[in-house]
Amino acid sequence: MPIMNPRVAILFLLGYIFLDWVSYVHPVLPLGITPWNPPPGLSLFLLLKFGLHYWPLLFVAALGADLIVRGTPAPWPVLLEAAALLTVAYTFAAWALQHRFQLGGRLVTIRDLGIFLAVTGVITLLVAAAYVALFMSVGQVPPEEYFTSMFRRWIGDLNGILVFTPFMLAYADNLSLPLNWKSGTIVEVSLQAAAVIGALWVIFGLAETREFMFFYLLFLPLIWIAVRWGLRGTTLALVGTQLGLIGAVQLGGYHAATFVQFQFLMLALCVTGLVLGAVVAQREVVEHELRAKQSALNRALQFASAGEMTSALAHELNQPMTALSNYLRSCQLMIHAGLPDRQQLDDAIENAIAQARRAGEVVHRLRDFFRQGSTDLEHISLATLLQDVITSVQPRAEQADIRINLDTRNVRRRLVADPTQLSVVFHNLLSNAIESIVSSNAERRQIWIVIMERTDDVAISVEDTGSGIPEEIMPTMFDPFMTDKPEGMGLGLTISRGLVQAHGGELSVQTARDGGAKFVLTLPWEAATLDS
Amino acid sequence: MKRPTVFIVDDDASVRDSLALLLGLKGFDTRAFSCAEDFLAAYERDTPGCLLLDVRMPGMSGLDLQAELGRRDIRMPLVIVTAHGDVATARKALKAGALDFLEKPIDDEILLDVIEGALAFDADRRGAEDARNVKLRRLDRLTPRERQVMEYLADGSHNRQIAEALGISPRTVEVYRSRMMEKLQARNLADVIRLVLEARETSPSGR
Repeated sequence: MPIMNPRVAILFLLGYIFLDWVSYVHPVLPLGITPWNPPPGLSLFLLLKFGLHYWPLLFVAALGADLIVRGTPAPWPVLLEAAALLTVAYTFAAWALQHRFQLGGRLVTIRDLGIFLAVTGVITLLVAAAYVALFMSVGQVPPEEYFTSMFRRWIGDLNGILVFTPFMLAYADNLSLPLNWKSGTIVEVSLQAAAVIGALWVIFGLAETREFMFFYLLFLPLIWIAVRWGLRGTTLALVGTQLGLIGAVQLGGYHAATFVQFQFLMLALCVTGLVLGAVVAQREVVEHELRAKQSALNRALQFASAGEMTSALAHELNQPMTALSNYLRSCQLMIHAGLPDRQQLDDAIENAIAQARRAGEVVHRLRDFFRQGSTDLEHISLATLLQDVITSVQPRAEQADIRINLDTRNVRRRLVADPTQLSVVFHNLLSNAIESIVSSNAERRQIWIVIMERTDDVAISVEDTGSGIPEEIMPTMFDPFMTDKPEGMGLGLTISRGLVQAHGGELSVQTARDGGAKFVLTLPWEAATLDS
Repeated sequence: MKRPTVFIVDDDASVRDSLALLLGLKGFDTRAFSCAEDFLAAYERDTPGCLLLDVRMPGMSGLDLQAELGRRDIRMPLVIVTAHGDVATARKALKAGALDFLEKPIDDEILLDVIEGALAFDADRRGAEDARNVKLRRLDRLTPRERQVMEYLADGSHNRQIAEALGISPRTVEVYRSRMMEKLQARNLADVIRLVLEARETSPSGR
């Protein structure tokens, strides 16, 4: 059983009673229904954020608020029942949101928000219906006022929740505003605040305007804020706007006839702001994920030739291989023992098959991994791309006292190709060249990259002063798992050639004039249709 | 006495399961765990056996577990399972006292050899430890006076010096001495000294 944090509990109780007191404006007696009722919003936040086991506090808070703020407005049994009703209803709402609809402690997507609106809408309606009925049963509400009261209570609670819960959820973990404080931002936020205040002044301040006639003006700054700052900005703006509204109503006086009208306007404002904010927030999340994914992929690919990826791959393949060989040996043992347990044998064979498949999947994944990027054809500058790759291996080259020469003087045309994949290839070739020079301990330590533009294609050669490639392994250079490096997997060149071929080009190797290796890569100006 | 058990700690379910199956068919008792923490929670010190430990695991790694076993003074022989070619890790594990290491994919013949070797090693170690414990427990039968006499003797004092130090007659020292030798089943002074040194090694303050 999880334990309540006493600090959370005390803050909640104080916050609940404070909110009840501060929002207790223009109550419609005897039920004390106010235009907006934030305490349920705080209750819901407590349960969503800190856990359902805080439910007893809801009861204590509801009862306490009735006693302190409203001064025992009804007989004791009714108050107890009312508090129990609120407790059960909002605990159920939080449970439904979290467990039935898998809503985490945050509102991020449109789906989250839609579910949140639907669940809270229904629950607050049920609460209102039951709550008013409870007071009607003891004669505190005349039957003819049942629907009006219920309606007011419903919209009041819903307003409170919609303004308050998303706001608290948005800022509970992270108090910082979704802004970076550049001077432009400060100006813009100030303008937005001024617009809200201006709208409020027009709505309430102009003597000649009829109540709420210009309410729609509030939508303009809210939309502005939602579009610029997403859900977090919107929730803050909504709280500010609501406080402004309450304050204005408080100061400016108010007519009972317009109570429901006012409530509905607030509700519409809330829903509009939240939905718009969620749309913007969701778009940002998607963009962010896309960027993160791209850069992660790029990073992985950039270092495809380095030990990290091969070691990961070795691990991925080693696991199923180990299991596979164990299962097969087990099968053999069972058979040799005579009269094998058929079920056990069958299971072991089944498991062996699964492991073989798993190994196959690793290989597929690897292939997909390299294929994924191949849709990204761009007009690229070879010179820039090569320069970037050189920069990434430069520290290693310098450490080994190797000079990389890139001649780009005669490069004019741009190439249509996948930059990430070509980076992988060049990274690989350069890494190999560096390693070859280091391991052969050559006296001259140079790498030349030469670009030759031709009518149909471009040829790029990477030449090093290492020990070169022995004649006998030249024909199998590009075969998978061919390697002369102790920690290598022998996949770098295989992958590189595959990537070049996917562009409709070719990668070949020869011995350079002074004995080193010379890799020559030809690429058509426009990559062939890759998906064919 | 409990049967020797091969403990397997590997985060990969199929590797774990297949190892347990194979070793089970070869007649070993096995217990498999998906993480180092589970193993630590379940391990009972008096169970003989050996530990087949994967290095690469999320959470506590194999080397972390090795260090933790050292801290807890659990001296079960350890066989590290590393990725192919991971010489650095194997070296680290061996330096930290692992008995052996295996490379994935594991060759099952080598596996069985190594496991048998590890269990034999553990049995030897436990046997030696038991013998030593039997001897050390004899110390508990000594009276305080007999013990004092033993300590003085071990430090090289003669009967007369002991008599002076304890304020008793050399004759009485002789009586304590012969009773002490009898209880310790020591044939000569050298046996006594050896036993005292062993006891001091086990608990530096003397028992």
